[in-house]
Amino acid sequence: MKLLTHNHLRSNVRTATTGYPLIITPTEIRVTDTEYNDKFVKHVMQNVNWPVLVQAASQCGITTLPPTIPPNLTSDTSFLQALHHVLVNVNVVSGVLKCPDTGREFSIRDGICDFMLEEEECENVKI
Amino acid sequence: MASQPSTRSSSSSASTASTATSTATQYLVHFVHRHLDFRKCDFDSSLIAQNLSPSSIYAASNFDMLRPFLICTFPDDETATKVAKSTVLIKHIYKVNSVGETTEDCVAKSKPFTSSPTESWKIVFDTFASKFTKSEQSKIMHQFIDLHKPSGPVKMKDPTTTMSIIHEYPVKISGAPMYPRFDHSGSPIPSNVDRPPLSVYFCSNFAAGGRDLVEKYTLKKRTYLGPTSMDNELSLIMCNAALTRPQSYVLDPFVGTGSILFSASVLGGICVGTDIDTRVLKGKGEGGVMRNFLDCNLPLPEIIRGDNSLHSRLFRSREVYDSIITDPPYGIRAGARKSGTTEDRRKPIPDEHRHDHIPQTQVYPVGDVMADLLTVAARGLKVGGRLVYLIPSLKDFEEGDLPTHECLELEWVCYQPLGLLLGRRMVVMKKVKGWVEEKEEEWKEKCWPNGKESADKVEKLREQMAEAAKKERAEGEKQGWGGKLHKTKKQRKKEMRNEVELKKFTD
Repeated sequence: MKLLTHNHLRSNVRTATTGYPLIITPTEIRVTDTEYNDKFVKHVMQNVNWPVLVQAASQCGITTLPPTIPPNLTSDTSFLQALHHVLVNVNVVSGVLKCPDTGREFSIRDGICDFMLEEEECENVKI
Repeated sequence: MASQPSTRSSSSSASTASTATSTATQYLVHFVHRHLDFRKCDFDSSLIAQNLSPSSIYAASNFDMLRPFLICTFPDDETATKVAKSTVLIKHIYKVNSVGETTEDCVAKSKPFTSSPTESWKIVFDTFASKFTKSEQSKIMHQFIDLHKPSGPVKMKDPTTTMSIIHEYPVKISGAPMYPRFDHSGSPIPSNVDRPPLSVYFCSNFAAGGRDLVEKYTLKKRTYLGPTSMDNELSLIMCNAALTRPQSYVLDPFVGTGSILFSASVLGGICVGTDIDTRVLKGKGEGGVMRNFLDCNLPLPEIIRGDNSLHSRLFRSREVYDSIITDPPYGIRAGARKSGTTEDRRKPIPDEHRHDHIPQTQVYPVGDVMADLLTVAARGLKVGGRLVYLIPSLKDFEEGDLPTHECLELEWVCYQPLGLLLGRRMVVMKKVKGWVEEKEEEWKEKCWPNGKESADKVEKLREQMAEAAKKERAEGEKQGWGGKLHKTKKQRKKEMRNEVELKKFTD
């Protein structure tokens, strides 16, 4: 699971009020190397919740992100590159995601997060 | 808007000939003669992806579904090369030297094709829907050579200039040549009828199309495959129709074995896929969805196991994706499932089994699958982003039956026949209106414009197909020919056995 995706995900348990942000407890992290693209990072940044990203990064052992978004973000290429690295290259291969409201745990195995609900969690599901 | 009906008018060849006199450099686009109904959509999408407007490149009236050649004007060579490379349905783009209605006309209009005495050259001969013998070909080639007398050396391997003489003949709607010259055994068909070509082109080879991707990433070379793996060519066409470019953010909500996201990655997309079925995601020891990406050194997609009917509960963000490309499950290869159970009497799961308990799923009716897909697209796509999906159906399903959404506008519908009864459509929709959370239910209600009936037409297709085949067989038997044409495997085996026995007996 990439940290970019983590920023979009929330707990889908019905009883959770916001279910966001999910707490990461990683057991294995793999850093891959992908091509940097200025446009993509700027585009996805519009939807990124910064404090959540900082928190998630620190849960994965990256503590170098500043607590607030730097104001001159669009012009600072080296910062954008570092940001691309945090958003796309850092992969949680295995571990657990925990819903902040209900404590429900979702497993990550082989890089795949499992958000399937148990039967009793579905009973009130609006479908 | 949607794919155009094939209008074969005699004026079309005349109009291409008349435009040949204008001064701007003309290019001849040679399409692959496959996926005929997809070609216009694919070509236009490639143009739009390069920020070109299709109407400035070619006149829509010149496009004929049954003709694989199209005369275009590109702003410069570089754009033409980029367009050619971006699509799998273009074989080659040529630079036009002359266009004629007959060979003689084309020769007369042609201009010198080499510019210096050191420039090496060769001429190749190509024909669509007809054949020329070697001696006929050489005769035509010499007409051009004798007229221009190129002074440079002839070089068969890697010459500076390669010229092509292309004769285009008409085809019937079925795709068969209008004037076949040889029968099945290869002997010439003698005919006194004049065989007028549609057009004769004399042009220099310029840029090869992106066909090599089809062979390079063919399904045969992949380690991880499943019954739902999508044909590489079609998935590349779908990704192109979705305007997938490098760094596009792409979602496939029914990822399965990941074959669509694979093609999106080939085109440079950054992919997210969700699926409810953990078996296809993990595979049986081959490594699962990620395997093919790892084999081909493509960036890994983000895979999440989740339920598409609960997409909005799982994803917080809206309007992030550039494209959503998917082949939803319709029950032909794989049926759709969603979380929950229909059983009333359920035993509570004991705590010692809870860690490896597999949650139950229930059937997910096609009507809801589509309504949810359009809702996910309306919510997830950026304004201007595209949703591309496939929908199979029998003959009774019409374009008016397609699901609709207030935020999405229908751009293209391309039909691919899959046999006599079944066919599938590629539907391309563009997001035109921003998402309003409060209107979700109201919009969802209006998904099927013709009511539940449309959805029922795509429900249980496998059963419907079996029923239609049975009906046809019964009809055939009534008319007296069905029995012979539609023998079951068992009947054929029995007959063969009888024949063998009979032979033994007579020997």
